[in-house]
Amino acid sequence: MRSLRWRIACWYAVSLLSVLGVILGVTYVHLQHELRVERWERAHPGHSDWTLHGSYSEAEIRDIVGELWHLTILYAAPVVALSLAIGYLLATRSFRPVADINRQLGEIGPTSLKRRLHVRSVDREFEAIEGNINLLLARLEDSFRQLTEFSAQVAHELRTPLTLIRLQVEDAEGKIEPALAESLQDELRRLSDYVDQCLLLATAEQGRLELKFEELAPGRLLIDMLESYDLWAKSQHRAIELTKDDDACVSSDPRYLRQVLHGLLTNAMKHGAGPIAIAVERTSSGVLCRIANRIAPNPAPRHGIGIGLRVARALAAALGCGFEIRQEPERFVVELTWPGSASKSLNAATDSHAPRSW
Amino acid sequence: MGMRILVAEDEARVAEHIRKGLSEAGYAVDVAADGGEALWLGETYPYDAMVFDVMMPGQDGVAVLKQLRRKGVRAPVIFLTARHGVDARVRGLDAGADDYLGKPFSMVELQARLRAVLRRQRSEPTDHLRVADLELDLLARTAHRGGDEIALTNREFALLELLMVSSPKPVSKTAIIEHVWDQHFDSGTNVVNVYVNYLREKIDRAGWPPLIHTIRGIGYAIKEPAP
Repeated sequence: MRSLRWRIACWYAVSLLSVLGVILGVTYVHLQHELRVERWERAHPGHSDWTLHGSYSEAEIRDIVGELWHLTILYAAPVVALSLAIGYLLATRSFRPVADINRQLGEIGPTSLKRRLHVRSVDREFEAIEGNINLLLARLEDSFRQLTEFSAQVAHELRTPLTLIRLQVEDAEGKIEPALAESLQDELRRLSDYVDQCLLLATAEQGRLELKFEELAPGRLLIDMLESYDLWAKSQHRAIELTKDDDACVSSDPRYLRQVLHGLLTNAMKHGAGPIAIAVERTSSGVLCRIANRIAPNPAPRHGIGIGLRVARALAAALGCGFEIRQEPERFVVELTWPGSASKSLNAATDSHAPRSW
Repeated sequence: MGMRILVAEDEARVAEHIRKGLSEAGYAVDVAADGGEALWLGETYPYDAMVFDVMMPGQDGVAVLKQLRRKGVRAPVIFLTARHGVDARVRGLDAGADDYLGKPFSMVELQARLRAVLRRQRSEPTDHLRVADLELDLLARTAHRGGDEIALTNREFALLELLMVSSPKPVSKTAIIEHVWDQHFDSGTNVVNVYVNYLREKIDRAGWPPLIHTIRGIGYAIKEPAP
């Protein structure tokens, strides 16, 4: 990618050299002309009343202008280098507010839309840019807030009719076909789950989760959760294999971390195929939790990621852990990372590092 | 039972279903349509328990409960709310509520919670549950049937406890998932059936009359065998 600073430095150098070139050209032509037409007069050294008249020979003229060319070529390289350096320095100094704006914009995420730019520059142009970007951020924050508030309100509003439907279905259970009643209850439960997930997503994206961090071992959390998923997997003739390092501890909120893991495991069960490999390990940079599974042969078409993964991603962001989704040719991998996390003495594990089949 | 319950719910149709469900369970039910009416009824009549919607026009459920508690009304209160967050829950319990039920809820669940708060109110011992010859010790976390101890996992114990608390009424699969599993465990599976079958194998062994029953279209119930 081309650098604007270098382009400006080149333009500066070219402009400077052009001006110097014009001055030099004019000087050369004028000097040559003057030397040709110049007639000099001086007193004779032996006879003070005599006056000598003369002019430069062509050889003398070539010698004088040749010297000028020689000096020009000699100084050209340092002048070019100097002008490029000066140009680059000026461009860098002039673009410092741009770098500052870029850095500040890069730090603004969905949970920090309240932040505004503060550019340390007195230039009118940058003041205008700062003002306009801040106005844009205010509009963005407002839109995002309205969107998440709308999601939350819709979710809340949906709960009353859902309650009513559930009570009505329960009330009618003796009168309608049992299979129909069961199916209605199942669909209601799914709908209620979606409403809960939408609300959780809105809360997480608004940065309003109340988090209580503590030291915990993700491997142990998984052990507790996998009992039910194992049954689910067995019903689909699949297996869950957990490889965990019990010394791998992180600082997190167990309640929300469980929800992240639930989202990932549910996604692997619903949209994946084959065995599910879960690994919790320490790496050189911290702690890693990886959940991988084969991609289902004929996956249902999806636009972007589903709500379960979106909730998991938003919660992971709120918990301050890295969240990466990788779709390899045959595998779907999700990785949670806690940079800087290390081992703790929470453990007394006997099966550390041992793969465990569920 | 002869117990009187005050229900405050601004959504008329939900209120009517609650009234009907609780009446069928043997309670005398009064319904208030807003916070002001609930406050007046709560101050005027002695209720055995109250069920308040948190979000009501005028005064919300929390404000009504605070005022009732200040005036010495000690009847147990269950909040119904569309807000499931921990902060909302803490706010409700801090105001003096005895329990908290998120919408959408099941009538069976509301009745079970109501029975539990009423039992606590009467200081009935709740550390033992019994259905026929099946006994559950909630403190020691042990189960016995006909004198034989039955080994249960934590989840099986929680499932059995829920069924026994609600006995003889059936408990829906939704209520089971909400009580026994994490809030966000995906419920679109047959895991509940599998667990109930595990439990059945342990509780209803060959030669013993079956206690766990599948009620099609509703859920599961644990009840004494018919004589």
